Amino acid sequence: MNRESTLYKVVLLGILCAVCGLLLAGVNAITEPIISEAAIANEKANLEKIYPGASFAAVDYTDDSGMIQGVYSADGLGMIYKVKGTGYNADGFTFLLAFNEDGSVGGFQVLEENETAGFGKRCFEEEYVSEIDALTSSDTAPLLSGATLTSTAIQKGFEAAKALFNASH
Amino acid sequence: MSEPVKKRGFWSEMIYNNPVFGLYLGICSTLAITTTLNNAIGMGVAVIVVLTISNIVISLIAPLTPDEIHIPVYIVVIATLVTVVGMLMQAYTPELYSTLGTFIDLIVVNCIILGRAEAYACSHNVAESAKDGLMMGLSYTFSLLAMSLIRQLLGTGVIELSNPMNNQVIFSLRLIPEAFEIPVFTTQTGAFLTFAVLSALVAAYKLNDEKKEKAAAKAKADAAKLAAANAAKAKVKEAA
Repeated sequence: MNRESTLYKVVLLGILCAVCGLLLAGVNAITEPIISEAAIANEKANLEKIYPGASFAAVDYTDDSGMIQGVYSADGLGMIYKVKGTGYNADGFTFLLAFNEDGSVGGFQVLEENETAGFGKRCFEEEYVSEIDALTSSDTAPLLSGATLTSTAIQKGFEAAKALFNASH
Repeated sequence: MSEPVKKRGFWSEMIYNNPVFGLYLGICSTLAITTTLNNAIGMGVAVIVVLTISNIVISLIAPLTPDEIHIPVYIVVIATLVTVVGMLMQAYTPELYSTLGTFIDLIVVNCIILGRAEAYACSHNVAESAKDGLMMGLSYTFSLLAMSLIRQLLGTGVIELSNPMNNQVIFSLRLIPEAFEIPVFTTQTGAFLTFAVLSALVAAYKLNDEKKEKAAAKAKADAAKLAAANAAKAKVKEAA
């Protein structure tokens, strides 16, 4: 084939791209499981608090609310959503919210918060947590008077996680 | 990027054809990531691997490549290699990957790699190209090491190295007491200052070396002249 012809150039670039593509696919197949394992590693200790001993995997998601920071599936048990909300403290707070396979709440676990004691902090105490634990994926999280900002943020986060859960189940 | 006229020693070659301080290539990443020794070594190794393999591959496919498409061909090869190295780093050295961040991907547009492909690898054989890639990669790495040693030491007072696989500290040595740290060296300003001083030193070395070379060449010429004159004299004597 004439080396100066357009066809030659097209074929050469085509072959090169195909070879490179195959190489990338091969390397990706090797590294992908290790990378996704590492992605959970940081979160695993927290996920274990909700579903002890389950095998977890990070799940891809598209979230319109901007509150969801991570979605993890616990094999056969349910889904865990990492949610960031902002209540009274501008730094916000993060919590894990899990839905069991049957749609009931599997767990509500705060990871990081700095809300005011006696007000926002009450959202992470036994009384309110047990209310959340009793909900299902068709309910709305209750507001807590005296901790309106914080509980509103939790309610919004609950809605965002619920929407993702219902879309996938 | 002219080829060296005469054979130089390893270190002299490192300084003379240094891509960063001598040819001013790949400065962007050099300024950005040389805050710690770990970053420098990680980036250096990544560049050595990419540069050596890309030089080898390009010297192999150069005879097949028409002139009009050689840049796209090189870019595809280099981008593939960088992506592979990036994925491997993300899998096996996640800490390093997250600190070096986008600069791993930006190796694609590191001028050293495209520069060596275009200026050297496409017109030399595989062995020569591989050696050139290795040398250029090594001198890039040494430049990074020099920058990061100075910046880390002056900026934090500590020289520290850790295992990128599990992030365990291999050694950590405080050489400057905390009160005498100069934090500006860990910022971009410090990067520019360090870079300027090191480039000036390299330039001074080169200038000095060239002067010496000229002097040596002159001395050699003088000696030859003298020898010729002596020989002529001897001939005259003999004839007499």
